[in-house]
Amino acid sequence: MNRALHHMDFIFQTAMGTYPLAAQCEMLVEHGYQGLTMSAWSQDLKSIPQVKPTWGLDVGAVYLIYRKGLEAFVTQVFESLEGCTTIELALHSGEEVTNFDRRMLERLLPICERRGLHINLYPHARYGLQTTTEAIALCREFNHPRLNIVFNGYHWYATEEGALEERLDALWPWLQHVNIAGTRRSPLGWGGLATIEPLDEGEMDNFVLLGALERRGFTGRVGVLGWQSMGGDVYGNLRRSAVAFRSMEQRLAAHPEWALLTEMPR
Amino acid sequence: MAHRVHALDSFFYSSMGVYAFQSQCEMLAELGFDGITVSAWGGTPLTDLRLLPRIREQHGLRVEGLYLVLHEGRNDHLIRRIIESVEGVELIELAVQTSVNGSSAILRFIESVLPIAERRGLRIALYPHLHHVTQTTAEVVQICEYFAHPHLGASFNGYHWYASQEGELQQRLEAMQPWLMQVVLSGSTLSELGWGGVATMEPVDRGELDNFAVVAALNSVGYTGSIGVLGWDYGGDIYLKLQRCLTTLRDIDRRLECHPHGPDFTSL
Repeated sequence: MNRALHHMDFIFQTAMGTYPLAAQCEMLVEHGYQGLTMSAWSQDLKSIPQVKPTWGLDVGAVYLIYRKGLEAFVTQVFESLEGCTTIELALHSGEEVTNFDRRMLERLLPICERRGLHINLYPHARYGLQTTTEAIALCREFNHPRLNIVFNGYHWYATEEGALEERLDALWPWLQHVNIAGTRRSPLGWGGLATIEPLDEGEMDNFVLLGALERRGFTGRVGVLGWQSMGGDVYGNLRRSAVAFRSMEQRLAAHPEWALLTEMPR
Repeated sequence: MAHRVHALDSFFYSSMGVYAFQSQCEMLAELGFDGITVSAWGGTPLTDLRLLPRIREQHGLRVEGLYLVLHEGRNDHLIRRIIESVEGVELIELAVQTSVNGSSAILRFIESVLPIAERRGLRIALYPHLHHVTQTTAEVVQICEYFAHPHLGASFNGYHWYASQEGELQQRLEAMQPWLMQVVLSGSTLSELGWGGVATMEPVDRGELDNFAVVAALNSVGYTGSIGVLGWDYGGDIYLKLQRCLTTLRDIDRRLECHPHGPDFTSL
């Protein structure tokens, strides 16, 4: 084990209800995770400063969605967040990136400077900011050291952005963290696009994705996505993802060349 | 009995690309597979077929078959040329996907390659494939019976048998028994979201199709050859999927050794 493995807390928000923070953290610790990303709608934002001293876990980021009308809420999260310095920000103020998003960022970046926070744009399928290409364009436009990108393998796959190597090269100057999920294209999946599953499932090859990151020298943390649609026993799903991740990590160390694929002829 | 287990090289294809052949062999050897089958598709293999004779020595893997796809009237010469020249493999698995000139032309093609197979010590196993000209085990058995040639036989593919809803597993396998040269299995569930809009392809521990019952039926007709895992469509982290498949098949074999008659099913 060498890379920090986090899990997004969405996995604990199931159709049956949401696990209490203590249970979330105890499960993550038991499976050898190093941290979690907390969603901004979590009831536990105020408890973030207690997570590290109590369970030894890092809250690597808070995941937040900006939609029109949420300006005050978003600003308030930035103004009040304690115990975590990174906000993974999804932008969904319209069908594409809009001036509402730009105005929001103009308002948030000075708060980041003042409070020592960082924004990682989170490209998200079916949102205004969907692709890594759009996130890169926005980062270029703002050219601000506190505005960067989290690469989400799931959304890259679900949006069928393709050209993984080129996308990672283009992202590289802004790439802070990576989120991954097991996924396959399916109308039954999230947004009618692709499933969200534990890392040992799905059609997308996360070993190849992690290999491409490794070749570029990525040393940041990796978060696992998780979503209520994967269903079932959360503890078991957490274990499957952790086991699969450590297996991939170990294989990449032993056989980095295995992850070098050739393109399928069309 | 414990069957040898091999993987089809198509296991290593996904929407992310294709693993290098060297990596394919290293992964299979590390996981404890006994062999691999290589696909030359319609005559354009992604693997350099000249590598086949050294696989056993380099990786300890048997090359359990070479998969070829005939488009009668279109690629006959390519397929014939491969059968004429390939080294390092003894079994050709032949699917007949399309035909320009109909069944008599397909039979003429098969007739034309049998002397080559005989001369070169090869066996040709016809491979029933959903949505292909020869889709069912019954169709390939008919061709085997027509030629009754010692170098011509059939491959049983559990997925295509299930997806084509041919049914009557025991009877089908008994009919195939004199010709049975190869077996390929997959997990599967009938579903419009699956391959060809008919049935999913999944690791052998998944799906509605009970591979325990299939292996038991294969044992009952005396099949002692290798069992292949299909691997197509579901990709993902290939290594872990392969591992699951191997673990499952080894476990099925172990259980069948303890309970040799397999499931004594009553009809629903």
